[in-house]
Amino acid sequence: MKKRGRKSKKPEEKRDEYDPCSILPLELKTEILLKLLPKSIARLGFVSNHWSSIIRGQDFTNLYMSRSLAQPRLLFSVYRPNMQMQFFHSCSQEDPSSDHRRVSYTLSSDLRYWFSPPMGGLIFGRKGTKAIIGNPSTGQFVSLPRVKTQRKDIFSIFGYDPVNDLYKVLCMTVITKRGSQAFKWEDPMWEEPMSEEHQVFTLGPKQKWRMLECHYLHRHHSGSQGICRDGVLYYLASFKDKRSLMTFDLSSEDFNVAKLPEDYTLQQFGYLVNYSGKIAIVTQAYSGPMDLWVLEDASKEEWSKVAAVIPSITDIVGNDQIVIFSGILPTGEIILALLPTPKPPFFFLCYDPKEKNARKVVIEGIGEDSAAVNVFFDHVESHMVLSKVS
Amino acid sequence: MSSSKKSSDGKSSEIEEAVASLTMPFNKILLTSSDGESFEIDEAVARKFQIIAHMIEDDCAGKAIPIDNVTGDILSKIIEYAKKHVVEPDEDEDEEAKKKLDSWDAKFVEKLDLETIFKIILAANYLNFEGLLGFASQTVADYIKDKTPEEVREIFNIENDFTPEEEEAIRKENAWTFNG
Repeated sequence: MKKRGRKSKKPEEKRDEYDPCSILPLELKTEILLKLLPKSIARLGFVSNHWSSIIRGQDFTNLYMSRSLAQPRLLFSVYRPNMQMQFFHSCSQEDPSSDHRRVSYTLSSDLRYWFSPPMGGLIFGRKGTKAIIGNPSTGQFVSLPRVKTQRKDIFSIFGYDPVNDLYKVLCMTVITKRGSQAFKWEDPMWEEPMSEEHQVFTLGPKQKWRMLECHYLHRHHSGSQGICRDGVLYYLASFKDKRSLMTFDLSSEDFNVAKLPEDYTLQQFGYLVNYSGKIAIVTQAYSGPMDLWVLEDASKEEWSKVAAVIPSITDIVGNDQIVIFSGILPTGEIILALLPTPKPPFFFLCYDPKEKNARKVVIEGIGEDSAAVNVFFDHVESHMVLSKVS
Repeated sequence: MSSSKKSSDGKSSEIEEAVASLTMPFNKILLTSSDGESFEIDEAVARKFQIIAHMIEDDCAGKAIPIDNVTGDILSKIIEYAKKHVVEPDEDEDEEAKKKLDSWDAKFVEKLDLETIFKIILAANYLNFEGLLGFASQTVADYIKDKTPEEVREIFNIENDFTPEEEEAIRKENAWTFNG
């Protein structure tokens, strides 16, 4: 395409006359912007205040996000040790063979962040008390102030409050006993330490961690994953000596607790997953069948069982492989990620519960160099640019 | 876009139309640009412009249609593109033809400057010519996708209206935009 010759600048003349783009109405400018990848769009926000106002404006943002919501993606968080490299690879969720994109995030040191499932286009990463929030579609991350604790056992959940259009992180900690651990049956005076130092961070400039009161004495399950759905955080915890479901409403910032079904395997081995838009607990006793309990109503504590979702894992992957229920595709196929990360080429399984068979989905280029890969689904692409926090 | 727009006397344009339909072979359509240039095209080509296709369906397309918002130079380019794209080859069935057409498309835009492409986008939108609108928009998008903000300002002759403080803040905080 030919570039127009530069006209000599006349200070009195209006700038717009020389800007060919100004003949286009907003909707056609938007058409062009929509054909760009999130990173390019974000970059264009730095051209001028006018372009910035279009790109960060409500109209374009709504348009872009509603289009992204209609085309959810699979997101792979890939960490390459020894190379201090972290990148995010994504592909179409409906057709994982298509539309592959990659964005890298340069690590300042060999700091490997643990990333949460993405919400509303953004992702949260934490290592100890260091935390970051960023856009894996553009590669921009901002540092949060440190989590307010001296303790090592920190539990965090990242969520999006659609009512107020806010991104929040909930954290809590628990004391870990060093040295000789006293257990219940050894020491009658032993009390299980409870979660404390509940705090919440709202993404925005000059924000800080705010300490919260929680009236339910509970002990979160360290190392487990919380889930956010419809502005509510869900996580498993011990409440009154029983494994229960804790909820935290992002808008009201209230805690609540719900009972789990009376099933031993579930209480011992279950973990939370997002199942077709509902909260569910997956249980899998070693190589046995994978069962699913779906939360129908948190306030009424109603659960329904979808039994033997995956009849026998070992038939599919063999004895020494652990599978993690990652999510469900629109086709109804269940995504199973393998642990440890398979040797390259990286793949995950799609299990069809109707046909009762599994297929491999290979993603080239992400498994090399002992990479650690996490699979997230229902990721929506965002062009959002984040302001510095501190 | 009624055929009576051109003349104040409704009757004489009816006669014009009648004459046009007599002298024009069947299924040819005459388009006239805002600056008076005329283009005779096959009905199949004219139908690529949804706005005209609807007129044909509704039976209110005379054989001569004025296109008031588009100048002759732009209209001729649009018609050139429409003629090539009357039949869109199926990617799966005829890969060869698709490749040839893509190559033609690339050469087509190569010769055009940015201002012309924007005018084409505007006109294609007015005529409701989806294919060209999408293609031209994609062309602009491809052109700017990897450019730095400074380069984009140069291309579009946009003034950098950030204050020096804002500029400094941008420079400091946004190294990520230039990563791979």
